[in-house]
Amino acid sequence: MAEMVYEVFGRISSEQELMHIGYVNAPGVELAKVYAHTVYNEENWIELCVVKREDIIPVYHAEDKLNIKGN
Amino acid sequence: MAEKVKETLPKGTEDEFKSLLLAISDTKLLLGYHFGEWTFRTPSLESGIATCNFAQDELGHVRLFHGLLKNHSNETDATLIHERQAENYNSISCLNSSISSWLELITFSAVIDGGVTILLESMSDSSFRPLRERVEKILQEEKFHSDYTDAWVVALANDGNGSSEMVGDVFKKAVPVFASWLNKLNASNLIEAGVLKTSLEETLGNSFTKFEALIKKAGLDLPDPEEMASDDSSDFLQFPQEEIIYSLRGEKNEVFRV
Repeated sequence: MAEMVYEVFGRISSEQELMHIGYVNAPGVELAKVYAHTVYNEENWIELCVVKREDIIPVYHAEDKLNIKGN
Repeated sequence: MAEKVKETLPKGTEDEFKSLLLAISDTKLLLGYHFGEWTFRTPSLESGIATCNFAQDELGHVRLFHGLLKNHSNETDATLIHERQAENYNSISCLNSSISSWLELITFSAVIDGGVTILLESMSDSSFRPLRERVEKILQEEKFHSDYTDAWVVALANDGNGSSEMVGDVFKKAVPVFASWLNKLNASNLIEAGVLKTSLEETLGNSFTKFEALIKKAGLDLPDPEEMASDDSSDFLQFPQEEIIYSLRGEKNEVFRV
């Protein structure tokens, strides 16, 4: 069964920004949500989200940044 | 007018309460055992972590129910676990022996854990506060169990490796044994006293609705309703295997019991 990478984001209080906490491998979004809950259950998250890694739109990668002129 | 919530069990419900909670906690104990047994045989590390989590959850639920039985019935750790004989268990029979495949574990769990959760939902508004409070916590955790097993059932039924028919066959085995277990329970006094809010017949109907929705979502053929309700548990042991009971009682290391 083909698996995809889902990035996991969470926050523990409403004052805190949503932060990247890790990733899970899963064959679909339903299992990715369960895996995020069970793998990263060391905190009492008030919000926990998953995003398919391939859906993240890059602005630049480190390699690209090295090629940006004038910095 | 809102119903009064009580701290003690209403008179006349004690026997039904004890039988019902034992049947649920026996089933959850076996579910926890199988989840634990399969922790290191899952298809991925993530599913191993989830399965291990659910083993912990199920054992935690057993502990909550055993706590209620100790406080509101004459049960002790000895009568509930350590000295309990296999023939006194009232677990759902498809859990009474080893589970032979990942597909079977997932499908049995979807039906058994899913069906028992529907039964617990009828206690979430119970007139008996200690039960209501415990069930609230359990239902929060069960949401993830249901999401997990349902997603796996759908994935297995559509894996392109011919598992679809096998998932359907396991469903057809599990649903009747769940129905048979539920039909043998008695809760008329509990319902009259508001400890349970839904009759067991209605709970069975709600469970069938849940199973049908999952079967449909997985793209499987719906079994004949008569087949789903048939009382056929001949494929399974009536009581848990001695080997499993030995593990559940903690006999191997009982010398260290404090």
